[in-house]
Amino acid sequence: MDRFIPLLFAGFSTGAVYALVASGIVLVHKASGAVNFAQGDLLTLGAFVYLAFTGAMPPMAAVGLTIVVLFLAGGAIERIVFVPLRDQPRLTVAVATFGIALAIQAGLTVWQGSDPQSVPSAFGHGSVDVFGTPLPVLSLWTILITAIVFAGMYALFQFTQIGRMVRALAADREVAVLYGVPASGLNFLTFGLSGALAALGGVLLGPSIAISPMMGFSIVLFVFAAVTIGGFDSMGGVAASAVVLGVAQQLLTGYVSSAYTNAYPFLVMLALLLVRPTGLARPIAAERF
Amino acid sequence: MRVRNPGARHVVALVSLCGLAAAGCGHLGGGGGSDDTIDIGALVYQTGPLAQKGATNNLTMAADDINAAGGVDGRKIKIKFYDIGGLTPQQGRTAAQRALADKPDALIGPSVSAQTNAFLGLLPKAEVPLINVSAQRESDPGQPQGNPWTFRIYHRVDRMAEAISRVMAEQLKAKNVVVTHSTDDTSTHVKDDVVKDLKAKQVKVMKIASYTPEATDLTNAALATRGADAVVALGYPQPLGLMVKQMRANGIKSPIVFDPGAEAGVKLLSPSDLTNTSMVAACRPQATQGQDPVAKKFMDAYTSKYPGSYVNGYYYEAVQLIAQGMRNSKGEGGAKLREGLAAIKGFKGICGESSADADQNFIHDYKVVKLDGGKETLGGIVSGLTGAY
Repeated sequence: MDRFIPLLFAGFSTGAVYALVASGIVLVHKASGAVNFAQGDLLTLGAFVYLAFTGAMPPMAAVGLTIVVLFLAGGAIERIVFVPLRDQPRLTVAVATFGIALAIQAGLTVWQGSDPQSVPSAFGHGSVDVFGTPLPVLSLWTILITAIVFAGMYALFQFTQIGRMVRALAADREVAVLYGVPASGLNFLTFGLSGALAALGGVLLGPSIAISPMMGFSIVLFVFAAVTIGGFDSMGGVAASAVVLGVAQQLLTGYVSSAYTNAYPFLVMLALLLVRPTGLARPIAAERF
Repeated sequence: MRVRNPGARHVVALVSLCGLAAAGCGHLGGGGGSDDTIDIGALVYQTGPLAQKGATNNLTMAADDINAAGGVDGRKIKIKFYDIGGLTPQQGRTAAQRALADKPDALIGPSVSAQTNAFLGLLPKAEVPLINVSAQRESDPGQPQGNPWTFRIYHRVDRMAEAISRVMAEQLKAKNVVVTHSTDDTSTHVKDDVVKDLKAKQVKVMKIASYTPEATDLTNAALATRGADAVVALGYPQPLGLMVKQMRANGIKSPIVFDPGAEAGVKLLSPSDLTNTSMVAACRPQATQGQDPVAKKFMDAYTSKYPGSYVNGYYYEAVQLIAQGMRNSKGEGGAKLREGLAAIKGFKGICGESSADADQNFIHDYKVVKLDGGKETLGGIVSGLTGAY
C-alpha cells in the first residue's frame, strides 16, 4: 500500500489534467465539428502567461487573470482561424489547428526562450498525510478543482439556457440558428471556455513539472487517446477515460515496467477499442455545418 | 564577357575553379585561418528549442577576454558559430563538415556524444583538433586512443561515476542507496559505473529506478527512493528536476547527489526542494568563486556582461585551452597545435587546475557543490580520480 495509494493518487491527478485538456477539445468539437490539435499548446500558453503574471501579483490573482486571458485567446482563435474556415473541409481546419500549435510554440520560444522554467504553485506544495500516506498537496488540489470544474460544466450545459443553446448548436447548427440561437456568440463562448480549461490545466500542471514551449505537445497525444475512448462529443466520457488512462499509466509504470510509460495510454486505448469499438460513450450520429 | 567558343568556356571555368581552389587552400592540413587570427569553429545549438545562449556567451566572452589581453602572441581569437540545429548525429556531422570546410585551427563542441562520434572520422584528414564537450565512456570512439585529434574537457563517464560513489560512501556515509537514472545513453552508462563502484565500496544498492527522458510524471521513480540513506540521481535537467519535485511532494527527504546533468535542473527547483542535495561537477565557477580568485574574476565579469545568462565554464575554458595550446605550439596549427594541447599541464583556469592526461582528457578535480536552500557552496573536492575500480 506504500506505493499503491501514491500511485493511484498520481494517476487521478494525471488523469485530471488530461480531462481538463480533453474537455476543451470536446467543447470545440461540439461547437464547430473541428478537432483542435492546439489544445495542448493552449495549456502551455496558460502556464507561461501564469508564470508572467506571478512576477507581478499574488499567485491566486495570477490564476484568475490567466484564465481570463486564455478565455480571450480561445475566443480570438475562433474569430481569426475557425470563422474564416467554417465552410472549408474539416481536414483544412484540423491542419489550421496544427498551425496554431506551431505558432504558439514558436511564439513562446521567442518570448520566454526554450529552457525549462519553474513555476510557483498557487495551491501549495509539499505533502499532506492522508491515512498515514504522504501525498502531494498539489495533486489533491488538482483532483478537487477538476472535479468542481466538471460539476460546474455539467450544471452549465444541463441546467442553463446557455447550455441548452450550446447543446442545440452541437446537435444541429442550422436548425438551432433558425430557432434564433446566437451561434456566433456561443461559438466564441465555447472556444473561450476551452481556452480557460487549458489555462487551468497549465496552472495546475506547471508547478509540478518544469514548463517549456513543448510541454503541452508532450501530453496532448495522451489526451487524444482519452478523447478517442471517451468520444468527441461526450464530456463525461472523456473525463472518465482520461482518469482511467491516467491511473492505468501510473499503475502499469509502477507494477509492470517504467520502460513503456509513454506507451501505456495507447495500449489501454487499443485494448478498450478492441472490446468496445465505439468507445465508452454512446455514439451520436450528427452532422454539423 | 561573352564566350563564343565552348572549349574556351571550359578553359575559363577551369581557370576560375583553380583560382578559387588556390584562394581557399592557403593553408593545408588544418589551421586555415589568416595569420592575424586563430580561427575556432564552435559547434553549438543556436536556434530552436535546444538553443544554447549560455554556451554562445561563454565562448564569446573567452575570445573577448583573450583578445583584450593582446591575443595569443598578437593573434586574435576569432570564433565562428555553426548551428547544429537538432539532436541527430547527421546534424552534428553536417555542422562539423561546414566548419571544417572553413579550415579552422580548432573545433569546440558539440555537447551530445552521438553527434561528436558522427564526425570524428573527419578530423585526422582535416588535421583539426577538437575540444570535445560531450560526456563519453573510455570505450567510445571519442576517446583519443581511437582518434588522436580529440581532447575532452567534459566528463569521462567512469571518473564522474567514481566521484559520485565516493561522495556517497565517504561524505554521506550511506549504507543503502537507490540509483535513479533516465534511459539516455550517458545516464545509463554512468549508472552502470556508479553501481559497480558502490558495490566495490560495500555500499548496498537497494534499487535502480529508470525512466524515459520524455516522462512527464516520475511518481514511480520517486517512490522507489523511499527508505534509502541517500539517492543518486542521473539524467537530463528537466526530468531530474521533476523527480526531485515528486520525491519531495511525496514526503521523501533523503539526501540526493546529482551528476552534472542537473546543472540546469537545479534552477527548476525551489530552495526547500533542494535541501539536502548536492552535485558533483568538474567545472563549477559558481561554487568555487569563494575559494578560487580565477573563478571569482570570471563570475564577476560574466554576470556583469551577461546578467542572468547560463554559466557554462567548460566552453569558456575550452577557448582558453586552445589559446594555451597555440602558445605551446608557437602559433602553429594542425599537428603542432595537437601536440601543444597535449602538452598542457597545470593550467589554471576557471574550472580549477587541469592537465591533459595520456588519453588527452583535461583532468580536473571534481567539486562537490552543495545546493541547500538553492544557494551553491563548495562542499568539498574529490581528487585523485582514476576511473579504475
